[in-house]
Amino acid sequence: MDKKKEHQLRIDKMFEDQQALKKFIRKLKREKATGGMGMNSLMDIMTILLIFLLKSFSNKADSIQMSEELQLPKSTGLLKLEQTIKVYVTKNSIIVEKDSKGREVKLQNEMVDDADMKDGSPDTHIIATLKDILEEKADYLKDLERASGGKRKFKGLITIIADKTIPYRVINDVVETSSVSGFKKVKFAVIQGS
Amino acid sequence: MASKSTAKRKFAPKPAPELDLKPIMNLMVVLIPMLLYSASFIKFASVNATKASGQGKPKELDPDDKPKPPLKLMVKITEDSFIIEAAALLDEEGMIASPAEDGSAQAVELFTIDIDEAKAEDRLNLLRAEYKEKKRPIPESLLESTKKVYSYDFLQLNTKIGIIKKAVKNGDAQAGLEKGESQFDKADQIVIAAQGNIPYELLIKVMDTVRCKMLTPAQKEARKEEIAEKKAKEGKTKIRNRNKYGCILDLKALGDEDANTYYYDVILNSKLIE
Repeated sequence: MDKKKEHQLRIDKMFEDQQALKKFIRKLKREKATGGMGMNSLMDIMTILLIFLLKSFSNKADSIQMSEELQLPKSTGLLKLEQTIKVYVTKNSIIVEKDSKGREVKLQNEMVDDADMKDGSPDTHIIATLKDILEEKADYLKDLERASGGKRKFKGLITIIADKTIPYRVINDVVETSSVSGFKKVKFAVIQGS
Repeated sequence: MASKSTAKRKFAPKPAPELDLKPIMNLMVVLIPMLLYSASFIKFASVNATKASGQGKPKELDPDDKPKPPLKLMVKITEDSFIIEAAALLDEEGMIASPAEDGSAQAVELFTIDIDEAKAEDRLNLLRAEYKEKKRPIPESLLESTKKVYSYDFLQLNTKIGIIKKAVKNGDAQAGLEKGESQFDKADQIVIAAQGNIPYELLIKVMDTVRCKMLTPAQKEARKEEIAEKKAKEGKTKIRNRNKYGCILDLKALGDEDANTYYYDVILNSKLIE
């Protein structure tokens, strides 16, 4: 009798355990269905971040890629950069942005080689290749002005983006060359700060 | 009992179906690092200058009018000093400028400001601290160029330019000219000439210096306090205190007695100094 009762008790207990387990599993299932990971807040953050980053991406037009060879000086000036012809003067070379033929003037020890100067003489202060490129650009812009009926005026603006260690001799040559080629107003690109 | 529970189950509001956000998340996880990588957090600006033309067009003048002598204000940057020249005579106290009587308009040297290498020490310490943090040795060229640039006395250059500006204005007032008129031609132009080996950074610094009034260290402190006060009062985080050329506005508030924030057009000389 005792044995039988004991047996019955054990069966009851097993049954209860099974019930509890089922309940637990059901509970787990329910929780999984409603809870999930707390992704909503993360999504909010990411969406906002994405918008801001896309916005900063959109005014890429006036950004300049800096590198070891091109470190801009700092200045207190707050004038905005404009869409103009850009001339890059890095430690190794002088390049005009969007030159169709990809020409460049090499710099040796931050100096323009005499052979690259007009008539092979540094006293002219005119860099021959640069003059060719800039004259092409000026002609193109003047054509554009004519074609647009004077709407897109040729202002003779040029932006010089130069490394801060470049000696004035080279800057002077670049400015002189651009002024001869029709770009009389010079803008120097700088980083805001002091 | 059983029927009730089925009814309950039947009409119980179903949990809203979850959106499958996995693809969007995947996209964002890729996009955000990409955009962060390519975003630039540096603000660029520009500094304007004009090239001095060798032979400028002479202005149309009345035949009776005597042409005004040009001021020919010039800052020369040499390896060891700034030299300020102008075609004006200063009186003994340096308060009144007048054109030379014979009208020769010969530029004379007014001030020379020598470099002082001790001046660069503060800046060099900053640089050293910065590179110590990065745990990298300072590039020799950077050290040298920093030393070269910051040995110059920009504050004094600014002060001297201010003295000339004031003297010209005093001279105009004494000559009985109306406001805005000057005894000199091109009184608001300053020419910068430099030696060939002057680094570009120094040229930009000089252009910044001569363009407008600089603050002395004491004024800088006062300015900071003033801005902090304004922020606390008005709750603004951004206070505009410079114009587009980077010149400080409203110097009168700082008790500057010659509170004219001056502006010069910067002209680059067409020749190098030998």
